[in-house]
Amino acid sequence: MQWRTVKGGRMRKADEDRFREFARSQALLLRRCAYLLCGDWHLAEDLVQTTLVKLYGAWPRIENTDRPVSYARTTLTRCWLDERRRPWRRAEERSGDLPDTADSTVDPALAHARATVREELLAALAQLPPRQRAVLVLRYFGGMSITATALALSCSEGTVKSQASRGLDTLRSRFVGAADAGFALLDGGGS
Amino acid sequence: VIERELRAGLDHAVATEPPLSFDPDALVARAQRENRRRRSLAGVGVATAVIAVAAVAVPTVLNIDTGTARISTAAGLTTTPAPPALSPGQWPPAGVRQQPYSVDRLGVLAQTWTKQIERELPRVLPQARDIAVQPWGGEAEGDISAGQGYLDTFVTFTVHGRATALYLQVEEPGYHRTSPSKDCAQEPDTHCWTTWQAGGALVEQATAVTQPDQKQNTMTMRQYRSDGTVVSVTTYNYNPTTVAKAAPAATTPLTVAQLTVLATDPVLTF
Repeated sequence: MQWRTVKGGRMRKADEDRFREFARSQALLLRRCAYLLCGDWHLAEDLVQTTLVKLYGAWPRIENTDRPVSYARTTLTRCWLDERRRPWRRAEERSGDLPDTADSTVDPALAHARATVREELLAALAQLPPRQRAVLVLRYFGGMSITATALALSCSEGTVKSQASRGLDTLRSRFVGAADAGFALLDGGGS
Repeated sequence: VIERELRAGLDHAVATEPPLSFDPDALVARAQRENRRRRSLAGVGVATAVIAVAAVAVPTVLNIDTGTARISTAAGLTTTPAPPALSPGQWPPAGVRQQPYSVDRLGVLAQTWTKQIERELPRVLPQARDIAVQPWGGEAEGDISAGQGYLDTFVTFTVHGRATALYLQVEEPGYHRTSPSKDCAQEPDTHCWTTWQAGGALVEQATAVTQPDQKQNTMTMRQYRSDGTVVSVTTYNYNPTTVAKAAPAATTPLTVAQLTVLATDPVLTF
């Protein structure tokens, strides 16, 4: 069996249009995933742009697979891990965070409780080792399978399970008590 | 927090987000510029890589410089007919049910398998040094719970001073619910071959991932035994047990034949 790949060649117009549409439709979702990984909206947007540029080079090869979204998340995760390994990487601070906007339909106390839990969750995620955090985000936000997560992180499925278990344990230990009630609010309660 | 609450928490954590300042046209223009720059740095107009894949030559595939980020799937998927007693689309075999094993029983099995690997790996891979079988576990290393249905571990070792590891997983009859054919089809980024035998099926899976400066290869041999047991052994051309970034070796330390010896070891069973 034989097939041919042209690396670095110019993309056909039709392929380019499909890539443009893919980028347009996925940018927001990828940025959310990036934000949960890095905790900074500005860096998240940079990571998404870098990811999509990398994806552009591989697009003729991946657009006909059934998982370009999974491929994009994998590339995004690796971009973030690479970013973290750089000695000059930006310090992790959520300077790009926006304050909650007022919503007259939501009870102010409820909105405050939600904002508090959100902050605590992001702070707890930031304390996790990078790969543990990546496993939790890919599995529980991205909905990726253990196999796909293992591929994204270049590790075994057993490692994914171990990292998820440890990450959940750490979060569980941080959210004993008051914040647990807040999670209940997030989990469909009281909107 | 439990998993469901974490999902809700993550969803809400991104509920308030700034507007996206994203221009697809500008992005495509940037990507084209970077592609041009890469091409000029490489000093070639167009690099063409041709991948010739022999249907049963996994190591050959892994040694070829594909010039691609990933080897694609469908081209590498081949199967041979299943023996009459087994159906390629059904797993576990008819009548197989999972048994709930106690922690004590699983612990005894783990000890037995550790001794077996310590005995067998030096025989299968004589150049392996500093062999250490890590504690067998489930969701976490060394953490065994009743009825978990499988045990897995890493075996760390060095070959010519280079650290690497094998990943082993033994699933008890009835725990593994997808057929060899389906497992292969669900892995679009791998080459996957299924060979049916009287005792079950042997599946070879090979994955190559090229990053900007390195290529990571993994190769898995998985035996689906006719009693429902599934044993997997994975070899890596890098060290999967550490996040330290070391350049991968040219090939994985174990060949298909060596992986097969380990995956078909009758001692690795429930």
